[in-house]
Amino acid sequence: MTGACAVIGVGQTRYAAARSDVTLGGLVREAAQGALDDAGIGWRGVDAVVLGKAPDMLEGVMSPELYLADALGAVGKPVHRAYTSGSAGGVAASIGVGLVSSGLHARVLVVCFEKQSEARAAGATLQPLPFEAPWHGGTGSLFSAVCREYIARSGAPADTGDLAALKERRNAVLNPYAQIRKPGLTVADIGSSKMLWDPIRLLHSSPSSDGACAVVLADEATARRHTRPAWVLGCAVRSEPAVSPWHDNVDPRAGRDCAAAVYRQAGIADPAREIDVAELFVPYSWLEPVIMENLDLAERNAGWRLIQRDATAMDGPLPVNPSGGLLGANPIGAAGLVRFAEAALQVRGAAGEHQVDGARVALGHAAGGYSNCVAAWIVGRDLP
Amino acid sequence: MSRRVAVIGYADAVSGGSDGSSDAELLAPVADRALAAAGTARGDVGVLCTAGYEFGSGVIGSMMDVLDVLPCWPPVTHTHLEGDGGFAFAEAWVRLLSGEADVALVCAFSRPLAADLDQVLGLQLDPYLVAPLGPGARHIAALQARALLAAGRYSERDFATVACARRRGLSVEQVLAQPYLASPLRAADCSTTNCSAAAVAVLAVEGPATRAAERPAWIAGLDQRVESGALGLRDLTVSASTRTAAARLGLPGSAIDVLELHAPYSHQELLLADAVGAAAIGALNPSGGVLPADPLGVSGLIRIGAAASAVMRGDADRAVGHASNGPALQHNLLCLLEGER
Repeated sequence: MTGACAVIGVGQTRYAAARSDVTLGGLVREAAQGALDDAGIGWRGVDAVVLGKAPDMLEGVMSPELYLADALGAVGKPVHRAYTSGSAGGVAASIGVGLVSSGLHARVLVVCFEKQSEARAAGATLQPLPFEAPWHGGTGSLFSAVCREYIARSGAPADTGDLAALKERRNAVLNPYAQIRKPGLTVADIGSSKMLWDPIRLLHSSPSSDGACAVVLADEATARRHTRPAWVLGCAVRSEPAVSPWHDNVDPRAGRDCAAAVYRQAGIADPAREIDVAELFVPYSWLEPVIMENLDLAERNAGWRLIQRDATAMDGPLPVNPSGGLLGANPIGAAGLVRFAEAALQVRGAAGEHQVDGARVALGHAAGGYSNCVAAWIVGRDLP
Repeated sequence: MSRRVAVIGYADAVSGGSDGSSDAELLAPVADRALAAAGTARGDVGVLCTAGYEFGSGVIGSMMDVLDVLPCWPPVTHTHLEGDGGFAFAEAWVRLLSGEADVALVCAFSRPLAADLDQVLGLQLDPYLVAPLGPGARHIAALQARALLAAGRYSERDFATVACARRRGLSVEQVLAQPYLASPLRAADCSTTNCSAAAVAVLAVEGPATRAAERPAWIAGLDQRVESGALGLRDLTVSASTRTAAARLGLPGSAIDVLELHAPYSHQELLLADAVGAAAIGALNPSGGVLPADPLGVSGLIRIGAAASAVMRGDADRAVGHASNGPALQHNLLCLLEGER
């Protein structure tokens, strides 16, 4: 990155299984207005807009930035698109960072949305392969294989997914935007919930969600005038072929390289110690240790030990997903940006009840496809 | 902005209909040709920007399939968008300006597998109030052409003259004798969309890659603007977004050697050339424009590639490429490319 960039505003909608009270336009407007209000700027103060959304075909609106131009306040302005699967939210943020750090624009509004109630995601996201019988697996079937391979490699105990889910669901209770807020859940409740794709159970899984998220990114001069900017200290996107002899679904090189890039940019040598809080893209709780290892936040094949010790709880040495993560809500195309935005909220000290005390450096992460598309950023309270 | 970025290689392939090739099969040989033209190795590519319309091919997540053949091992920065490759070109330019890498590959691909692209494009309209009425892209374009006639700006003969200039073996009288497809547009006024295509541009930051290139096409300016999604809020007789972009690139009143316009309907070529506002244009659409072949999602990148190629060949010192998306030219991008004189 060349010029400095900071988050000066964050907005989110209330997430729900069906936001039938709003149109797609109303949904993105709610998040965008929230981000502008938070940043203390009006619609005229936005120089360019980035819209993230994936896949477009879910809601059946083609190039939705066109219909949404008015709701996004983009008329007469440049509008950029990001569509890379689950990582789209992170990629959208990274396009916004590029627009600011290149010096092209001073204030960029990044908005991502998904309205699964107007779509059918589980079937639509897995296209049938030619000459193969339809197996109607949904995305969970893809990740169950990843989890089973992880268990084979690491020897993770059978309750790892239950414990990770319990932590996420406890955190989600503290997040007013979360869709699934169930106080009083026990490990036994989670471990006895319906088995969907062995070893993934119902309560290990993220829900279908409607929702949108927005952030306002600003250049250094603008951000300096702001009371609580979250400085973008590192930002990267890495993708690799989904089908190749080298692709490792459990520990993809795209994730390792992406993490290494943002740590290098942010001057982080020991991520597990130097990062105060991480918001990770974990659609199924079993994947939490898998992703932590991939991002060098835990030793190889030992991430499950952190889960067993409850080390990723809000008051643990490395809190992961204090927002409740995707288990609280999973508006697919927006879910990555929500992780990035929650990381920013943490270092701005603006996360409310799920604030991690003293968080100064935070990691936001998004991943998609066959774990072959990864985006991440590091945000900090201070600009070195 | 201290970094300068240039196009150093370009290739495309356009064919009628579909021969059954996959997106990846279409794209792979074109990417290889573009890299060879640029004298660049696959391993040099640090940024990959892809574009296409899944609504056209009917394949969800098609960018995953093309990653299998594009240079992304070791992993690279990748962005994709549902739209024209011209907008992916803009993403690559921003990525290089912000210092993410030194070489970028911009790829667009298209297969016409959907039943009726004209109807599919209607899905770009307001999904609650307008799209359910079932208009195709052509019907919206016809509203625009009708508005131009009503304003007295052009005549049907003017539209037919553009159609003749872009299509071989047709006279103005023959075009005017055609029945209306969507009044006042005739078949010759509407682009031929039944084609498969891929286009790939190689962009590089000033440095070893541009020094090795014979004549880089420097990106002297790029601007893109969107208009309202509500047709009733737009003045369809002007391209306000193109005007804004042209003004920001300093084009009005200037002289340019080549102007390549992404105008899928004959009246839009007139409208766009007017909005660019250049005082002198050496050649308008010397590549032939999009009326004879308009691969959805690739056409805009082909226009920018044609403009860049004119500079790289030494045929032009200043060339402008244009890409568009959306009903009645809702979203427009202009790129000014210059050669060292």
